[in-house]
Amino acid sequence: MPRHSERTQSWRVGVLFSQTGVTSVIEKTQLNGTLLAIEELNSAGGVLGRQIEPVIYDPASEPYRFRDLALQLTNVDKVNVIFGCYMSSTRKAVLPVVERHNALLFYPTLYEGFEFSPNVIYTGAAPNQNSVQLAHFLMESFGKRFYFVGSNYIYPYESNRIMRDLVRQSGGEIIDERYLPLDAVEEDFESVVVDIVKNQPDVIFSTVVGQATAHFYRAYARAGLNSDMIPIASLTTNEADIREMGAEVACGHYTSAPYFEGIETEENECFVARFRARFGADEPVTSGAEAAYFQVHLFAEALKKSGDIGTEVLRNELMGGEYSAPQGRVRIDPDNGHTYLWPRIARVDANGRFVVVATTSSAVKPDPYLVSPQVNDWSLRQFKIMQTAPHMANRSKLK
Amino acid sequence: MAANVLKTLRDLRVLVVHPHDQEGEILIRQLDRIGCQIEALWPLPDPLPAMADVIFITIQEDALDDLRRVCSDDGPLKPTLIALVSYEAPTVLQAVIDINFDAVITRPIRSFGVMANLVTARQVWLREKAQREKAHKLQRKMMSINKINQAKSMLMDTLNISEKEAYKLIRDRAMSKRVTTEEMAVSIINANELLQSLQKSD
Repeated sequence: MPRHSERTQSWRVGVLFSQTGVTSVIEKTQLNGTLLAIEELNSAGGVLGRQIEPVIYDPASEPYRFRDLALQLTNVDKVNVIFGCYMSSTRKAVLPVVERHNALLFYPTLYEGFEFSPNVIYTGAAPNQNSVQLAHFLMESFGKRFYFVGSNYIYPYESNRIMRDLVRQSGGEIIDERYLPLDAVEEDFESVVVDIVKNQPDVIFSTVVGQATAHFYRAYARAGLNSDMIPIASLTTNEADIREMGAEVACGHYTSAPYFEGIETEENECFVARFRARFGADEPVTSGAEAAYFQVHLFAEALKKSGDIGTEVLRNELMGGEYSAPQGRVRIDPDNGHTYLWPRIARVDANGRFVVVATTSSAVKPDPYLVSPQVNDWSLRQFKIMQTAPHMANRSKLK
Repeated sequence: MAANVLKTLRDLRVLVVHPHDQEGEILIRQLDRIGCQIEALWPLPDPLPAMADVIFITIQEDALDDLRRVCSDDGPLKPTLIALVSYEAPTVLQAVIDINFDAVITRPIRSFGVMANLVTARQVWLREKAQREKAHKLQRKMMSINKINQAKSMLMDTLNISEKEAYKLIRDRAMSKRVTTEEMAVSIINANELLQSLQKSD
């Protein structure tokens, strides 16, 4: 068979994760998750005997680059399936492109909700799959006086709106909220840390994303603060951020996400082993990487059934599609194109590893249009706190 | 008020007047994601069901008169109305204005925009409802003040007393009879009119 024919026989897909710029640390792990899944599928003979051929670009954490490269993928590379995007601003930039070309974007990132497009499959957590659980856990464990620190864009605003609502429902209070630029550095956080020390909240809810995450945690540690005094809780701080900031700085802080590197499932042990074998033992595996990984497999399962990469037929097969992901069995909800996921909360240990302290006994249905989640949301009945905060006993000393 | 609109979206009873086709499906499924309680009907019911909080109505360009009749503005405040239009032609938009729709969604219907329109329409409707109630209250108050003023000047003329004394007289009478000052004022006006007509016929 001539080579060019072999090439046209492949399933060509677009991959848009930033390898440079403010969110490249996390997006590189998502790129790795994507590539790992594609290579697994290809080495097992591809899908229906055809290899998956990724067309990879670096959108450099800039929304306009995402838009231009999405256009490049759809117009020039003639691709109608794209895996990519981290920040909501980049997804919003790609959205009109995939809608106009009737392409399909697989988005492996938690986000603020309130979106549905027939051209997007959402495999990250909606607020009812991470914020509700985190609010519940933090108020049970630490108290109800919250301090919000976030990056200055839509996701922190909306996440904070939800958290504020949940805290106030329980009679708690938000002492202050601060928003810093995406490219904020350690010194930029100093005044925030001073204000935190002054106000002595029970807990800090951080929606700082990207490289600023490590800067914030470092500024916090440098001021002599630690998680025994006031823990920082986040929806985004992940294994890659911890590697950036170091175990000592990260130790004791919390993250709510459907996946952590250390989850003890058979699927996850295989996944992490393969990930490390492919990208190096030190490469962090994140919740974004896991979603990026399983969404390629969901795509492949659907493609196997449809035999056709056309958006309509593929989407039909994707709706209700299931896969045994590293986090547990996931399923695409046909009602909204989001995914049933497994909420978990983990605490960073002294070695810089996440240890799961709260988990759920079944996957939680996504509810991306939930305006007012309730602190007593029914899904919490299956949410078990296995380990209370180890330093609770010390807290009285601080007051 | 805006926060309340957002927080009560899942309590809204929403009626969708739309043919059973793909666009209707897009709208209904989006309203389902938003979490409203939805009912779908076609064709346009006459009269509009009183139970709905919000009605999405397909505008049929060839049946604008029927729509005007069904949605005519007399009687109590209609539910929140959102028009689904295929044309931005002035004929259609005039009907949208005449019928007093709270928002307009243009075709093709997409998931995006349904929630934004629903929220703003509801907000506009609530504001209009509050304004109407306020206007009605003020109107009642004005009428009441008018009646009391009329009764006061009658008493001032007849009994040759000051305005203050006239008012005190009305108020004391009202209290002892356990009626409002307005009702007492009306009784005085009626009695005075009766007396005058008797005097005239003498």
